[in-house]
Amino acid sequence: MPGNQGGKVANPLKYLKEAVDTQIYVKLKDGTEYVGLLRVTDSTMNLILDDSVEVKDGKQVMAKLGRVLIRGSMIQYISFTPERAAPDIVGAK
Amino acid sequence: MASPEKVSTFKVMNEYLNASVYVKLRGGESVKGVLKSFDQHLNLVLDDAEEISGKGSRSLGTILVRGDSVVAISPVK
Repeated sequence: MPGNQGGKVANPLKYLKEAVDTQIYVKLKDGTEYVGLLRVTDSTMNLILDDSVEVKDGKQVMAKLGRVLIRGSMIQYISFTPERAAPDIVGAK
Repeated sequence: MASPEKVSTFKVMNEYLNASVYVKLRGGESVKGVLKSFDQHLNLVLDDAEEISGKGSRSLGTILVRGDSVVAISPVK
């Protein structure tokens, strides 16, 4: 995780870039939740997740999807610590 | 002439860095956490975040909140 580097605060998209090749939890504006391995991100926050699953309330697996591209504008928030946001899913995988 | 201390949204957000904030989101949910970073879109990075909804609260860890779903940000003591 980046943080304060030389007194300067890294901007939020930089945090996202640093999370490439790690597992993340994503919540969309329509309430859909995904857990997957972040492969690619861009300046509009579009994401490509590998080995992704759709989950409900951070607990129940609804579907296994494999690779999924998520449009940045649909994102509500992203957790870099899926083991906390969806402990049952990450632990079981 | 030196103008008196001017308030700007950017300055105020800077004061909230590393402090605990309550963020109201579109759709009735809200999150609380320590503000680590923000940008001009109001994308936020929160540490030790907690989601607060009608169902209760839930721990999320470190999160990035997309700016366009932010409704309001308020510091918590």
